Amino acid sequence: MTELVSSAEPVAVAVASRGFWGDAWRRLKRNKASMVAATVILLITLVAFIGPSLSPHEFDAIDWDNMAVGPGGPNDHWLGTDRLGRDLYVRTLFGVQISLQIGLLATLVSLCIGVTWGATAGYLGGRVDELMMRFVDVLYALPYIFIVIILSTMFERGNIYVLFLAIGAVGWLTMARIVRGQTLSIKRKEFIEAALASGVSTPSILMRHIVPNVIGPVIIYATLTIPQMILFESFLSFLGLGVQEPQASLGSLINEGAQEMESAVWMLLVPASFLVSLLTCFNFLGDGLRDALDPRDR
Amino acid sequence: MRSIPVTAEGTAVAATEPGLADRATASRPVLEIDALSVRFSTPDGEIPAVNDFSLAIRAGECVGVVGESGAGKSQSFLAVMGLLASNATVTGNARFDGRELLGRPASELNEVRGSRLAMIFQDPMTSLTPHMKVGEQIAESLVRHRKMPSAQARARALALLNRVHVTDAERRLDQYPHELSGGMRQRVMIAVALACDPVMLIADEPTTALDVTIQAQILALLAELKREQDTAMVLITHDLGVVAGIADRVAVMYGGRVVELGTVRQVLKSPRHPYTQALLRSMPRVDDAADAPLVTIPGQPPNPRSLPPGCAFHPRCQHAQELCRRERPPLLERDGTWLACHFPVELVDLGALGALGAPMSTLAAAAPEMPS
Repeated sequence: MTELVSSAEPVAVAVASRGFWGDAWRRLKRNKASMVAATVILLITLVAFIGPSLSPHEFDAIDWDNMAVGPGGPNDHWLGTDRLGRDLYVRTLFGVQISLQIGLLATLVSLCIGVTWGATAGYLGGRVDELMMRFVDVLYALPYIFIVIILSTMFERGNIYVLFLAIGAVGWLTMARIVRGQTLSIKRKEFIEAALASGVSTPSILMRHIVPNVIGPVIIYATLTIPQMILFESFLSFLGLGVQEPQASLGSLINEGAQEMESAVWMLLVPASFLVSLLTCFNFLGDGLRDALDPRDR
Repeated sequence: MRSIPVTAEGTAVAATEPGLADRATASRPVLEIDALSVRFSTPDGEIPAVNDFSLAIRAGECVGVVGESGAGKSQSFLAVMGLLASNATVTGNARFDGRELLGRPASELNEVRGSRLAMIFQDPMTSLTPHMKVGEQIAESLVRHRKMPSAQARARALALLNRVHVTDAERRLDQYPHELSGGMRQRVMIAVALACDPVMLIADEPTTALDVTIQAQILALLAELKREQDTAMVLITHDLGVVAGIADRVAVMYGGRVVELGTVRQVLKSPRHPYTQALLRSMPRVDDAADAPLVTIPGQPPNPRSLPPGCAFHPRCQHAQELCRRERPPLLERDGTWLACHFPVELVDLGALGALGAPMSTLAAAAPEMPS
C-alpha cells in the first residue's frame, strides 16, 4: 500500500504549537476583572512575604506602652496593636502568609486526589465505580473533625504540614463527586468514542480527553475551596488544633478581633478586610479561568 | 432490460462466502464478518440488534450498508471495532487481516484501531474533542501508533490536512474544532482516520450531518481515497444516493438482518427484495410530476425488542403470504445477488440508477472545484 503522505521530506513548520495552556493564558489576559483580581492576589502575597521586614516590630513582641491602640496613632504601629500590644500590621501579614499557604496547598492536595479519583471512578464505571464511590460515602459519613483530631494527635500538634494533609484529605470528597458526575456526562460523548476508535489508551483518554473537559467546574470549585480551606483552618485554630499562639492565621486573628468588636473594631476589620479581598479576588479569578479554559465560549 | 451478470465463478465462491458472491478475485478479504450477532441486555429483557450478519470486504472495495434507523447497521460495525456499550453481547467472528477482533481486550484492539482499521463518525460537530487543537488530534494517533516525535507528527498532520483538501491548512492546525465549519470538521475527522494509512475505513453516515454540496465534496474525497489508496471501505448510510455514488456493493439491512446483498448495479437497478424495492420507490425522482404524492413504506420499522415472526418485513410487505408470516426466509444466492425472501420480486428495471443520477452529478460537479 502506498504511503498516503510522504514523511520523507519533512515540511518546515514555522509556527510553534502554543499548547492548551498557552491559549488559556492568552484568553485570560483579555479578561480585565480576573487580571485585576490576579494582580491583587499577587500584591497581597508579595506584601505578606516582604511587608513584615519593613516594620520595626516582631510578630510576637509585646509593646507594653501601646496596648490595643488604633491605627494612625502617634507611634509606628501602622495598623494598631492587639489586646496584648502586638503589632497588628505584622501579625496580619503573617496570618495572610499562613492562610494562603494552607488554602492553596490543601486545595492542591484535594484537587489531585479528587480529580484522579472521580475521573477514574466515572470513566471505568461498573464495580470499580461502585467501590470507589462507596469509599467516599464512608469518609463522608465520618465526622471530618474526628479525622483531623486523630491525625493531629498522631503527629505533632500544630504542625502546619499535618494540617495541610488533614484538611486536604477531607476536602477531596466533594471534588471527587463533582468530577465523577462530569465524567459520566461526557464519557458517552461521540468524541470519546472517536478517540477510542483511533486506539487511544485508557489513561490517555482520561488525562487528555476527559480531565481537560471537566477542568471548568473543577477550577470553579477549587477557587471556592481555597476560601473554605482558609475558613476551616481558622476553625481548627479556634479549637486549638490549628496554628498555635503566638503564631497567627487570618482566621485566628478574626476570632480574636471579633471578641473586641465593640471596643476596638480595627482588630476585626484589619484581618477581615484582607480575608474578604482575598476571597473576592479568588472568585473573580476562578470566573476568568473558567472562561479561559473553555474555548467554546468565545 | 435485463443486465444481471451471473458469473460461474461468482456462484461458486458464493456457495461458501456470501460476501464474495459477486467477485471472484483471488485477493483475501481485509475484513471478514461471519455470523455476527449483537444483543443488548436491558432491564426489559434481551434486545437482539443484529442477527447472523456476514460480510466480506476486500481492499479497494467499498461496500454500502443501508437500512432504516434501528436496522442494526451501525451496531454491526461498532461491534467489530469493540465500541459497543457494556451491556452488549457479541457472538460470531470478525477477522481483520486474518486476526480475530471480537472478544479481544481493549489494549489489544488499540493496536489495530486507528492504525490499520479506522472509523469516521456521523456527526463532525461532536466527534472532535472540543479543547484539543485540530493538529494535536491528528497527531495523537501518529504519536501513539507510529511513535512519531511531535514535530514530525505535526508536519504530517499538515500534509494530511492538505490531502483532505482543507484550505489554509497551516493555520487550521492551531485552531479548535469549533472554529471550523461542519464540512471542514468532517475533513479533519477523515484526516484523523487516515493518519496511519489504514487498510480499512468504516464510515458511519459520514455525510448525514452535512448539507448537500458539502456531502458531495466529502463523497468525492472518499471516492478519491478508495481509488488512490486502495483502501477497503464500509459506508453505513440510509441515503441510497450516497451508495449509488461510490459503493461497489451494497448490503440492505432490515430488522437486524441482511435482506439483500449484491453489486450496486444489481441491487439498485433491479432490486428483488420487496423492501429494497419499496426503499427505492420512496425516493422522490426528479422527473416525477410536481404534484405526485410521495411514496412511503406503510407501517413502522420493526421494534428489535419484538420482531415479527417469520420474515421481519412481512407486516409491511405487499407480497406477503402465509409462508412469510410463519417462516423466516434464509439468505440465499439467486442470480448473483444474495436475497432473504420467499417470493422475490421478478426482475424489473426500476431505472433507479438513473433516478439516483442527481447526487452523482452533483458529485461530479463538485469535484473540479476542490483545490488539489
